[in-house]
Amino acid sequence: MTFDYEKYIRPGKLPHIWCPGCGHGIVMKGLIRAIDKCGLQKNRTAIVSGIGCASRLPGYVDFNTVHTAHGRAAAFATGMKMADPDMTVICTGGDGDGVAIGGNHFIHACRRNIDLTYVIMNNHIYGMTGGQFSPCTPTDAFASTTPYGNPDPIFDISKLAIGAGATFVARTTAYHATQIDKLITEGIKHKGMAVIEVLDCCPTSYGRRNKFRSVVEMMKQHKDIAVPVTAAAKMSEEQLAGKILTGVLHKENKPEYCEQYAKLINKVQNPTSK
Amino acid sequence: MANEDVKVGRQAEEDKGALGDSRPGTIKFLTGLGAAAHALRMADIDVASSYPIRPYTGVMMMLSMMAARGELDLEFVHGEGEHGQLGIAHGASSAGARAMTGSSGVGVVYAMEVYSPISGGRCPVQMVIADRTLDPPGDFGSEHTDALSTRDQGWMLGWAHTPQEVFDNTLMYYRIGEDPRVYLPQMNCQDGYFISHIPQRVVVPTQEEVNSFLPPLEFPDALDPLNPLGHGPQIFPGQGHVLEATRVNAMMGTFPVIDEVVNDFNKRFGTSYDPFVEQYKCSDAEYVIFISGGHAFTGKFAVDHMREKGMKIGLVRTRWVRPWPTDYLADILSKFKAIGVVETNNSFGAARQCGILTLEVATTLYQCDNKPVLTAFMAGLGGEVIRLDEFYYMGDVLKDAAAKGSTERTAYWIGFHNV
Repeated sequence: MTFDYEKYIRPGKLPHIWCPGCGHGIVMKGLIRAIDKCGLQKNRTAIVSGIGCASRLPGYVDFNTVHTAHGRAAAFATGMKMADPDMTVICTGGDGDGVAIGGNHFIHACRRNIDLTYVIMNNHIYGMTGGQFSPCTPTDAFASTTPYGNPDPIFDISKLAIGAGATFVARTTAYHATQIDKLITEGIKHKGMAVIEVLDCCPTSYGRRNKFRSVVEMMKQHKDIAVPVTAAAKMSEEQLAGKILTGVLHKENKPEYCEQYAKLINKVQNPTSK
Repeated sequence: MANEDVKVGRQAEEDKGALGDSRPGTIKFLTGLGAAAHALRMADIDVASSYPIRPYTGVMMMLSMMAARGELDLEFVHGEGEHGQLGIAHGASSAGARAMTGSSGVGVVYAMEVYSPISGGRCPVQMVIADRTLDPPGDFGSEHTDALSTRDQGWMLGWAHTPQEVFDNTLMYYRIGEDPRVYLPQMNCQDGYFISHIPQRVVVPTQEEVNSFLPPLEFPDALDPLNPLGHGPQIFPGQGHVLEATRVNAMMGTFPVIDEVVNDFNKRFGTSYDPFVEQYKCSDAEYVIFISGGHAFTGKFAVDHMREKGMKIGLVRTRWVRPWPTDYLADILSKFKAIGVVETNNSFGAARQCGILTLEVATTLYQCDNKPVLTAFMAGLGGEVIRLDEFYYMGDVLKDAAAKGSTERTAYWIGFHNV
């Protein structure tokens, strides 16, 4: 039986703004399948985004959704989660939104280990505004503001999340469609900050400038460079050169922020109880 | 973006005659952003700090291309957000660079913290602003509330109403802001889309002419490893009023400099800018539209049409919001019977329930013996076009106000009250 996506899509909100070949739709479908798998109630689920192409996602899906200011998804979601810790709060957005203008909020959400699921679509570019380079544009790659190649080193989003303290970090690509919902499902079920980085394709703003002749070629590149983290354990450093690891990169159990906060309140209000 | 030279040389010479333009120079077909980029190139800026947001962002794409082609020796730095972007411009200017940055809409206000340190540090940064409506919700149209929100942060602030004026303002603003009597940052504003994205004829002077008008920046307190000094120290409250008074004096001291620089520009480039306020068909006008920015372009056509019907209407366009040219405007405005301020901005709950400019105009007129009837026209909000028929409606309201000596409302909402 085919999956009924329409159950979760707001009537009248399609067609979406994404260009042909953009991977954001694949990620959105993966997110919907994951929410369905987790059996979440629409009115107890919130999806929060910042600004950008990826941040348009919440407009299309039928949950509590907020399109906040550029980079503020993690901050807004933190407030929402603190106010209603039983709500499932999911952030969606892109690389520029999440780790450039919103980088500070992102790392502090990771540090607190607050129970959010952050799905970050990394297409290596500011797509909506015309292809300016982001902190995830590979060094030497071309963007509208780096016509002779990008001199900047990049952020590795997954490593950044692990370093900042997120307790569930996973990575996949828009090519690996079935893995997207598996990882998001695991992230939603994880108690604590879960970051799922999805390497995505922006044929319009990134692909055209970087000699990808088609979206298929961009996807094939993702397919070729992706190495499951389990397989990578058996590979040499030379074999892993130029590859990216996919799957669950990091998972640990640590106290979750809302729970710690509730414990503190309880302790202060009831000094005699233990 | 269509920013190609359409005609140069003899063809351009012929055009000058046909269009009554006596200015020497190459004629280009430029958007407001293209005009800003070319003027910045000719101003030989040293550092540009960018962050993408529509609609201003095109100027950065053009500058990065100019730098890459070697047309301009420029350090092009990308901020991680507008707050960082302004920080980069601040640092560059503190080190003595001719620095520029820019933004639109929510980007302008996201950087709010950094404006006062830049102006208080007397760093003559120039910021290109293509106006955009603030959130919520997301809207791309032009509304001036973004830049006007920064009016109390110590920056010079003015609007152009054509790509040509954007080009010219870019050069004039640097010269004014970098004058040793001034040293202040400048917001060089243009309406998003209406000016930023619609190409018009722009006369571009030669590099030699620009060089002779705009000398290199000499910033006496630039950070220098060989001559270390401190910027931005912590002070005691008792020192605050002295600092604030110095900053006010710097801003008020811009009037003679603006006058001098604009007149020098006119003399060198054959232009006829009024340093502060443009008056269009005002000599015998009884009532006027007061306006700032790109909609003045349409407004002038509307005034022409209304004049053909015998209405004694004119248009007054301020070229500056900071410093606010109080004395000039008091002289000009107090002679009319009625004034309608076109507000392409909003100040929720303000006195008279109008926008920001009416507050300034009302304060200006308070000192005058003759107080014209004053009302506001809330128009173009959300970036909507202000149509000719809407200007005609404003004209009718003002004609009526001049005859009666009063208006029904302190603010008319175009789109509501005229339907």
